[in-house]
Amino acid sequence: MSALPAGQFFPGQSVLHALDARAKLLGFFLLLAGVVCAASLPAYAVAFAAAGALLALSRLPARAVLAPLKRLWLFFVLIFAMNALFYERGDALWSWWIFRLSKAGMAQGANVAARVALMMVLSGVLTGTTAPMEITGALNALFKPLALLGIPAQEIAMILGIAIQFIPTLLEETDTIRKAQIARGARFESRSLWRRAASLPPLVVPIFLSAFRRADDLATAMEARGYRGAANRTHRRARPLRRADWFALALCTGVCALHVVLRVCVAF
Amino acid sequence: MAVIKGRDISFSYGSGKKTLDHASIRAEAGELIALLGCNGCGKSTLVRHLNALLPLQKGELRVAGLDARAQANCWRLRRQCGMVFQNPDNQFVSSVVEEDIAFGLENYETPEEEIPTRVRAALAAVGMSGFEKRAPHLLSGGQKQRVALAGVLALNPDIIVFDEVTAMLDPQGRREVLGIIDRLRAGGKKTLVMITHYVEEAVMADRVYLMAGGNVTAQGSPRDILTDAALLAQNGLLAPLPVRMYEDLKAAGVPLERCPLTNEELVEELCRFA
Repeated sequence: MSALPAGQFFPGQSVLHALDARAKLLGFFLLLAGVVCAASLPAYAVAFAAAGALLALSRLPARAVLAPLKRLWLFFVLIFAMNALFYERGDALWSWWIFRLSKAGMAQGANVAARVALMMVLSGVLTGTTAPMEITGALNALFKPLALLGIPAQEIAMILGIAIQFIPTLLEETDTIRKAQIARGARFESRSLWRRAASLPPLVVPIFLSAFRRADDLATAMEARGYRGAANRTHRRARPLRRADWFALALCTGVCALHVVLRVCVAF
Repeated sequence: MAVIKGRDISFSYGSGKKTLDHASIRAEAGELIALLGCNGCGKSTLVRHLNALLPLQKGELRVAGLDARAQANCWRLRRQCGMVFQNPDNQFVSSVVEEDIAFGLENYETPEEEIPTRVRAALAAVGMSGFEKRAPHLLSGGQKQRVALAGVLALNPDIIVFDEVTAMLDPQGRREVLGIIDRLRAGGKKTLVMITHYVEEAVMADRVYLMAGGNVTAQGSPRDILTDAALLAQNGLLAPLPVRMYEDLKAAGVPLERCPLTNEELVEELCRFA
């Protein structure tokens, strides 16, 4: 694999690594809520500054965290273009056939692209500084009240943890299948959109088949290692949140509140 | 004392065709037994009965004194009989080595304080100390399989089944994993069951079982089974290289005193002849 996979955990000694996973997860959701509220230049300045500060504090390799953004550049261009050309509100700057370019549309496109980019960076920082089982444990703790409603919260947390762990394996598999198909004449790099689209099913079908086979193997291996559902496992004692965790949560709450204020007071 | 005692085990996956047809298996405490056979001969199906991954449909099976037919023994059997599979990538539940090894311990509700010590001990046993925080998918094939084995060793089972664990490894990875199996065998504390396609690997076993068509067609010491090229051929297997050389030399009018089983024995015989 040429690039590091998204969602990779990097063991480390940074301030963010040391925080409790529950505090990080809650903080992550607060910051996400803030990002969703953002709709003005000052708000985005705050959001990007917060994301940048977290990236610096995490001491993660910035290239690895930002790599998914680079890989998805076409997706961002598409989001922007779709919003810019099809947004119905605001005065039209130019129009032709079904297309209608407007300032409001461009602002909306920039909004959506920026939000997705920020969410990706924040989730990269979270998964980069938190081991998957810590995330599973934190989700377990946070989902606990859902169990009262009969929702299998612990199983959901376990599924999420395993899904994260399988990302690199499936990416590697995709790369292998892609190369095998290229060797047999598939044209994934073709400039023709039609040819690229036509070459996708031979890639997608084996990936799905492989994923199902792996899931089956994993289920057998988990059973062999005594997995009987999340209820019958060692429950790691949740240690109380420390001062640093509360401080981090307070900061995230502050940033989220600032976003709400900016949303109410400042227009784009 | 027999730790594994199975008689007339038959099993069908539902298609009606019997995958196992009156297969019998036995292993004494501390013994290493090898199951040899072609693809689809029922080796994996047979060993999956040992830790109740498959229900016993017909026959008798006792593992570590537990009756495999009793549903209530299912989890105790899995605790007593660990299993390492062919593809290590499909066995990991976590992207951090120490967490993956802790998975089995947590499933058996091991006290939280005990887990780190047992994880470290298991990693040390497979020569992977210092890899606690590493991501399994970034390790070599041999290292991945050693981590998978550490996950089983952490549970301290009496029996360990190796289901074609070297099939996907390069020569270096194979050496690493076989070295650990050999050390475990020398320790004499575990009963080991090894499924393999490589007849050369079966040489290290105390007893070899040949399987074909869902049944055990022959069993005996490695020397008895692996030097019988005709028997191996009947079961779709090729004799080890020293045995084939012995047969070729005999056909060419160069009879060696005894059939060698390993490369070292072949060299010894050739030196004696010269």
